[in-house]
Amino acid sequence: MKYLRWLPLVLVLIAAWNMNLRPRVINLDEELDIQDPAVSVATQGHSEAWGGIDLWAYPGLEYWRVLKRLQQAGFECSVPQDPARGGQPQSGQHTVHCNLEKSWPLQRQQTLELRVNYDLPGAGGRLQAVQAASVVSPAAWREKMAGLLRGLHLLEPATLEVRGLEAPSSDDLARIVADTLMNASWTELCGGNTRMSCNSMLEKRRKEGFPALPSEAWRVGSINELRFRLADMGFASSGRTVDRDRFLPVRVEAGRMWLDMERMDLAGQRETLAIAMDPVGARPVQIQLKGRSGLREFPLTGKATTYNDNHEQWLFPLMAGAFVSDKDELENSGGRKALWLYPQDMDETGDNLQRFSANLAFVDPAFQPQLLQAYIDFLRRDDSAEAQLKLQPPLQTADRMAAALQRSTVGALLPAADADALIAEKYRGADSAIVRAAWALYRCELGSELQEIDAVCWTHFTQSDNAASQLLQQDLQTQLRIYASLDADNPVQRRLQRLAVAYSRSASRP
Amino acid sequence: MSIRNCIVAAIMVVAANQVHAQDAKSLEACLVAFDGIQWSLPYSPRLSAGNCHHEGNSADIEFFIHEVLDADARSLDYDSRYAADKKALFAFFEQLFRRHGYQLGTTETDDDARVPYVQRAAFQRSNGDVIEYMASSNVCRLKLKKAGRP
Repeated sequence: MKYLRWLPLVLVLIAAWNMNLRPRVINLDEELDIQDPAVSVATQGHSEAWGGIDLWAYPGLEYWRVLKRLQQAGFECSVPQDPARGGQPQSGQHTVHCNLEKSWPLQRQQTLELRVNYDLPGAGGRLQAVQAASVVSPAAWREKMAGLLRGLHLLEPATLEVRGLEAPSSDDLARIVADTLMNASWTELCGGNTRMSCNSMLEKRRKEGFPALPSEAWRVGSINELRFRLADMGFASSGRTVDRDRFLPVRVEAGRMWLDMERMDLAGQRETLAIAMDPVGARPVQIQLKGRSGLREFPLTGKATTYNDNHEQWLFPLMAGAFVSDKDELENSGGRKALWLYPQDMDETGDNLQRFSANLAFVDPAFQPQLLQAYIDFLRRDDSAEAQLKLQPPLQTADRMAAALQRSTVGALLPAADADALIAEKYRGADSAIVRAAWALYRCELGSELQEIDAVCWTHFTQSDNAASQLLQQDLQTQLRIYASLDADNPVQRRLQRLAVAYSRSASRP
Repeated sequence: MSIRNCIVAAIMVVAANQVHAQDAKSLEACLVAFDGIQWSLPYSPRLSAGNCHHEGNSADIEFFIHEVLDADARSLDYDSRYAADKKALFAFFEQLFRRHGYQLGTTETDDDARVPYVQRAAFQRSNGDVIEYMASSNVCRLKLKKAGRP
């Protein structure tokens, strides 16, 4: 009992320790790996017990990071096992138990039950939920003492619902999401070798927390970059995923294609977001977020998804309830899917083109005009030196485009009148005469071995589009002069003559 | 697809890559080296510029020949189509060089070909400038040698 007189002093010392009066050494490397200062600002006042997990945890945090931090705090954790196959889980949700024996000021065990999700993108699992408990070693006096100390906030509570980083409002959620998605963000600057920028960002985040929302469109990466970054926050696609490399689960509403994602924060609050994409390049153009306080919308300036040497990939939604199987057959997936398309395949002649063409028939009819336009733009774009110096004859360019349209079947997706109207409307400028000329060749030159040019169709073209018709006719005269010495059965001569006949027939028709 | 076509396709892919390596500025500088010729490329066969070298009194440019299988050519067998392509190519350059004051000099046909066509030719201008024309299976090469100078 004689030692009890020192009890108040001991309690004061413990309180001082808990009030952050202990010396703190900040090591930058450790800081980068361990804690985003903005998260610290947002979780201020949370419990420091259980390795401080309530200060730094958030849904989507990679499990290996969670484990590393808990091990640094002295916890021992069970190894998650796939119950069916053994070894580290590849999918599904698994529970991990972590324990830490504490002897001061009372003998007890701190336990954590972690829910780890292995279905999100990225290697290994990601944190989904945490339950914390503190169990005092059985003895009546210890339990009484624990009650007293807990009452004085000198001992962690018996249980804790770990909330970690949470967004009290939809605006707060938007700030955190913007920070995660935007280029030159915390993850960009502090994940690479830009240490100086990172240092100043660390300082700013220590003072201000998450940055304020940008006043302009958020400059973000491609849709796949966004998906991976959002997985770091625990967001996952809402739809069923079938063959991730070929499809993306999407929603189509009011002519727009959306990728829906959702998560539960550590407190169990459901949060959703949706990203609208332009099919060409699958560029993110808008984001909608819904947290604890209503819907928020923000414009995005996203990057295109590219493949092989910077060619843009396209992402077009398929008809409702359909996806294309490996055998290029339409199957019912129970949700809307968008199909990744590689436009260069449409310029080829082999299996790729066949596969590509088979897929096109399943594209949502509402998006087929956009697909046709994207394809025309793709065919029209020629970055070669010869094109820049305008060395190629217009007739060759028009022929090439018309042949590609015929091979790809894109032009045949729409009813002829609708397609004609689209070309006339979207490519009506003087600088688009070559597109209209190519379209006329595609529409009027019949697909037989010895191609005939439909006289009625060609007459309509020459009479309704003087600029495009003149462009071809002038070049035709030039080419006829150049190749005049060729035999009549030379394919070039035959081609030019057929076109010349079509022009003379159209001139003689009323 | 036959082995021959595979090889041709592979060469085309390599050729296509080299074309993109050729920037507009260097191609323009190269074409200007062919004194006074107002360049355009043939309607058929389609060409794209490859290597180019010009120095002092000489210039040398390679064009890759792209096979175009249009409907009119489909009825022909391979040899006839090949020869028809080469004939069209020669007709184009003969016209181009004639317009710029060159006269056709010597020609050389491919004697082994079932359907003969001009494989090599020389065009000469009154000032003595000579352009040599050479057409192989997938490359057309033009060499300018200016007169009276090495």
